[in-house]
Amino acid sequence: MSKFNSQSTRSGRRRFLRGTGVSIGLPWMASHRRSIAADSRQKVTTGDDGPPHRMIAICNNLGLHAPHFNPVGQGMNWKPSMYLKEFEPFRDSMTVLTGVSHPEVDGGHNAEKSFLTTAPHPASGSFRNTISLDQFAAAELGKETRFPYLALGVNTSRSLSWTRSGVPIPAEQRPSKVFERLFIEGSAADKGQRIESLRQGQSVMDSVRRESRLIHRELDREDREKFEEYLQSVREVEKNLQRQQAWSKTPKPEVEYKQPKDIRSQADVIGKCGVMYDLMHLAIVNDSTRFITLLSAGHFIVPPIEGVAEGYHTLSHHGQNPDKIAQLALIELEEMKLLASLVKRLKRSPEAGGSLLDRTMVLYGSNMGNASSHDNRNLPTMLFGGQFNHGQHLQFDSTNNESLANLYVSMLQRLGLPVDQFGTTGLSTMRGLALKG
Amino acid sequence: MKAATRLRPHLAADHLARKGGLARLLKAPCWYLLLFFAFGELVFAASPSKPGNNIPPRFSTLIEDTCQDCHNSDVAEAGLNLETLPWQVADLSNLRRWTNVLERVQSGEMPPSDYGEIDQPQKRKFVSQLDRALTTATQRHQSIHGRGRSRRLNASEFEAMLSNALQTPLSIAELLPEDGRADGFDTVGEALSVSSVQIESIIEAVNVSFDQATELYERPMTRSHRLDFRRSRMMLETYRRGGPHRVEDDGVILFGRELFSHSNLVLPQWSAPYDGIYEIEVIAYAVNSDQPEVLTLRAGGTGHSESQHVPSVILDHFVVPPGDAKNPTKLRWRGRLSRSHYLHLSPESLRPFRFGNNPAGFDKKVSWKGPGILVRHVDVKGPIFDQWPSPSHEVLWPEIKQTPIEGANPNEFPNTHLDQEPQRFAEPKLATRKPSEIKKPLRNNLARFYYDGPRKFGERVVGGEPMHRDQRILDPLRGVRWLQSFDPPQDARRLVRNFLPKVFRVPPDAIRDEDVETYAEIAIDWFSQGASFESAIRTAYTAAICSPRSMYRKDTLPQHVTDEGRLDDQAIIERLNFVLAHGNAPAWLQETNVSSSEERMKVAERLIDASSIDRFLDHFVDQWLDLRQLDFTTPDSKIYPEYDLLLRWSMEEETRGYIRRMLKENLPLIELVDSDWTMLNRRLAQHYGFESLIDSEGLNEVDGMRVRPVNLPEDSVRGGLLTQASTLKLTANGTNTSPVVRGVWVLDRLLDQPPSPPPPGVPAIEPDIRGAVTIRDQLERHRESESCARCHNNIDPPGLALEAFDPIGGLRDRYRVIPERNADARVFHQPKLRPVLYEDGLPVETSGFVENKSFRDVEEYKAILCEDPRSIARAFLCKFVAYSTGAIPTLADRREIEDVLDQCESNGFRMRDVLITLVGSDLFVQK
Repeated sequence: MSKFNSQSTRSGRRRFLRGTGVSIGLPWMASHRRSIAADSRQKVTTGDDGPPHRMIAICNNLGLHAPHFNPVGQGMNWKPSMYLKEFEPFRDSMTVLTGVSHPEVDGGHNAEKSFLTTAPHPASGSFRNTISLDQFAAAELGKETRFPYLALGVNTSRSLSWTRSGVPIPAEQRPSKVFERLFIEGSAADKGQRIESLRQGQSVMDSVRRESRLIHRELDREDREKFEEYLQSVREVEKNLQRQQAWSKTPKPEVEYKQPKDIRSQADVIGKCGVMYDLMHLAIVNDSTRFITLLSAGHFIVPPIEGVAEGYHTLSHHGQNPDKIAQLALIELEEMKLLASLVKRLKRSPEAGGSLLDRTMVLYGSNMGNASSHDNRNLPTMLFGGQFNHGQHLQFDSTNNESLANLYVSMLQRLGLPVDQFGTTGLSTMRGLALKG
Repeated sequence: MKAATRLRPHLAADHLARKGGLARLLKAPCWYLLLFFAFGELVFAASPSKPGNNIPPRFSTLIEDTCQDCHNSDVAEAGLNLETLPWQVADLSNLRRWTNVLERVQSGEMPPSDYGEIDQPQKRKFVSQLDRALTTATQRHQSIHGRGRSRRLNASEFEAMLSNALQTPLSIAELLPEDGRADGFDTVGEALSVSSVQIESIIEAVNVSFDQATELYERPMTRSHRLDFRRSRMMLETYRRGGPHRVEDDGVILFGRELFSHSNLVLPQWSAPYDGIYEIEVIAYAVNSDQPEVLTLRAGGTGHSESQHVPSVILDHFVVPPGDAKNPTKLRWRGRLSRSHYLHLSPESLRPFRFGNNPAGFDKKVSWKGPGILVRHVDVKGPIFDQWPSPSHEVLWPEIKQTPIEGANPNEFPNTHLDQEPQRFAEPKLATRKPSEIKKPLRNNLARFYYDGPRKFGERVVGGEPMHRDQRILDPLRGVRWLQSFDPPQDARRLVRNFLPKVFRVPPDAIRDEDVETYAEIAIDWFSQGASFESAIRTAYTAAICSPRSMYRKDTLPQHVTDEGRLDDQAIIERLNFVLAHGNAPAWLQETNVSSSEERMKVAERLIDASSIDRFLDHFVDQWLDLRQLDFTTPDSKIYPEYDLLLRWSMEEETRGYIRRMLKENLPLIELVDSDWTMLNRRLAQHYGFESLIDSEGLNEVDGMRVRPVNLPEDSVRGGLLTQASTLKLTANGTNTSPVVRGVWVLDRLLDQPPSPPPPGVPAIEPDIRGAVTIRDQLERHRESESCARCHNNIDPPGLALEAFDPIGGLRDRYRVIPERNADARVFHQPKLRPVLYEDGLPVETSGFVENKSFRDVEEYKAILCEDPRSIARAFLCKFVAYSTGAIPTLADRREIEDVLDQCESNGFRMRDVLITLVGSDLFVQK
């Protein structure tokens, strides 16, 4: 080890907790079958030994124009709307939900904080968030992969992911960075420095734990409860560090995909989402992670789409103006096409005699039912993949909405977790949606 | 009503969950009443409260007879079941639920008005007995556990703590996850959670800070450069094709910013080479204008694409009077820039432009004759250091030898190309053909035209002027030396001993030898494992910073509570430091005596007079008045074309300046509601229609954008927070106002009576931008429903009074609406095309009722509030108690809060008095 601190050691150290994970060049089965069987058997209620289930959750924080989204007819007999036409090839692998929302989650744009957590009244001055769906799942099932989860953002450093104690997890918003973490092996020197940094991180945590014990002893019951959070966090950091050290010995998977350049224009939401979707697909195929969230934030700047002359966010406040709605539809259609291409790729990737989509749930939705009036009810929602009795349009009452959190309970069960509740509002599985296979 | 200190249920979610069922209940009230009268006696006589509930008999009668009609095991309206809610008030969550029950009954919200008559004396007795019992229980709880929970530093406190320890301004708060809040404050222990994500980002922030604070290179030379727009590529190649600039013999005239860019008028040839102090001088004058224009100086990235990475900051606004080549104005600025900062200048008082093509022709000068600002040149000098290495380096590495690294290349000194005459020449990039021959542009006809064909020899083109190249984005600084220790174990001990008191925030002699040993050990251990001295010591430092001794506020830890049940002196100093100086108190604070009430009050006086008080004001005002949400929406430029960045900036300055002056000059708190003065600058005077004040107050001088106290004209509705543009903007969305949002703000932030959120399933009121129906009419319909009326009778009136103001704080008597024919029109921000697209809609109506008193307009509404100065003072005090002690006032705190108010009453409840008296009180020194 050199006796001076060159620039590269600095940046290496700066990143030292930003785990560069690892993943594997092999399909999941070769390397992980044993550990999965050993670790998760007691949790798996479906009792199968197949590939693991995964989950992607995407939230577009400006919603979708309901008349263009809502299908006509319900159950298995529904006619696709303008937007849903894009998904015709996957009709059998998707469920459309309308008339769903999170009870007591209001506050317009603030509601994005509760999209995956269900915590009530996110705009309140005393709002306290709770754990998000992906974190809940990753805490149980995220240990198998180099990254327990990925929290991504388009045009925002906020993510959909929140920790158990309600702390927001910042989003990674630069595709080049995500790619680097997933797939780029550093030089031997970089790696050495990174490992030193990880180990130094452990020294720090050791020392913090020692000091904390002294303070902890003197706290009474009420204060202790809160302080435990801190101690628990220290333990988690230590575990993360250990995990990262272990993974740093495994080479990262090689992919036929060039490190993407970051699109800087905030206007190009579609372009940015496209790159993120590519990376999400690669991460799932290579089993780098099994839980991914993506929050995409529309901007005031005019997106580069033929025929669109106003900012995305501005258009979402269309006030029922037909010209604005027409422009909005151009943007939203592009988004649907992009999503369809992600689903298509998952469907075309073979796995265990079926497709990757069979074991990958893709939830697409929004915290906004009507962005024009900032209404957080009637959220446009789609669930793809993961082997449910798909092919349906589950239509619920538009004035008395069904709890969207029930869908989350269904999804957790699909992952094999023995839960029958999520948050305060997911009290059962989603009516009409059943596991298959 | 002395005992009216309003208490809030602390767990919002829990409390809100309970509110939920109200609407459902009230849909069928008659049914319940019927049931009650028919079987009430019988049923309830036969069912005493369930075992395990144990409500004392003195309350149980009324609860069983009345409350349990709806709050029972079968119905449990609003999630409250009074048959099973245990009377175990030693448990905090039960205590809070019972407190909530008390408040609902006390405020008259429960039982609901359509419930029927209940015996008033019985109710009064119930309230006073329940109140006494719960107050006693709360006192007991607080005396055992303290008022607040032990807590970590929040993100901005952490940044302040480390900046102070390292003696260099850091901006690391943005690297940390956003903090939880209670009552809008990020200082309340209960809301401040910790997670591994937090700890990981703190470690990252510490590393960034150490990198910034460690200087392993030569002292940078102070250099001067003259920057000229006429030599910049941006002006000659990018912007010349038309639009908002014109190159003249003695400078460049700036006609406007490009619309939607943050600040495109960048000087791309120079960027700040190092973090440090710089001096800037701009020579400029306004042209084609009979009045001054405003020139804004910013630092940021090279354009808006990088703004994500180098956030743009406003350095100053200058008021530039008209002049000519012989009579320009000199504008000066001195302050801190960061490495890689570029300078931007923009004439913010002028309309922004949308790029179009120059109507005169591509190769012609812009012919626009409108107002502009001519900028001759910008002189910049820096970085200027008083000391090298900087104090921050000395904090981390005192007396550690720096040894050159063999063969290491230092960073090139940037900007040297500016020392020579420009070597490049502007390329003619524009087509010389007629616009009609050019291919259809990429996107609608506002887009840029690209030159897309070969240029013929001899064709008349613009170009060929000498210009400087753009400065490249600078590389991170490379160290060219390493830190060499000749006795690592001894140095480690010395460095750690020096560093610990700074981050633990204790006097040096409070650091024990074993503490030094523990941390030095970490460094020594790493050094012996082959790590560099720097990296070994940094590991030890990081461990100290992450330790709870540095991460936790001492004034929230039980070890700092004395036998008398109050905080020890060290903890009180910590509290004073973080509250009244946001962690930046002058060094003398550590030496002061704070044990007696009088001494504490004296210290508070000194802290308020110190310059660090501005740090307190920034944070407190942001959170108390929601100023941090000022940018949550952007006004629609079709309806409010007069909104601009200057106004946005000025409205915030007004409110901050207003509160600052109230504190500094000890003004009565009632001036939060109404006053005969406000803080104005040139832009606000225009906005509020006080043109006459511009000359008399000197607002046309160069510093006319700095806010100053100004006496308002007799007939003005302004004065007080309610009528300040910032309040009115942050309580509106971009297109319209909602009396509900404004009413909630007034009740919550100004009167400290936050209303409950709406029950689930109530749709937001959708504004009608065609203007067929006013929001007032929609609300009136809403209030016809008894269940909605209960809250909206309180919420709506302040909001209705404020309907006299539009979303940007302008006074109006009619709503602005966009007529159908203009719905699709686009605003062209070109000089000659500025149609006003809105027109007058329905008239505004501002009357209403508060507690049976009627008001016609905002003046009369303010007058009603002013009748009760004690309530206004109490609301302010309660907010400050929550912010400063990290715990929202409870039943048990009422007495001391009223004591503080009593002491301040004779002097008319003045802001400084109230703050200082609180600091002197026992409440302030409880954990």
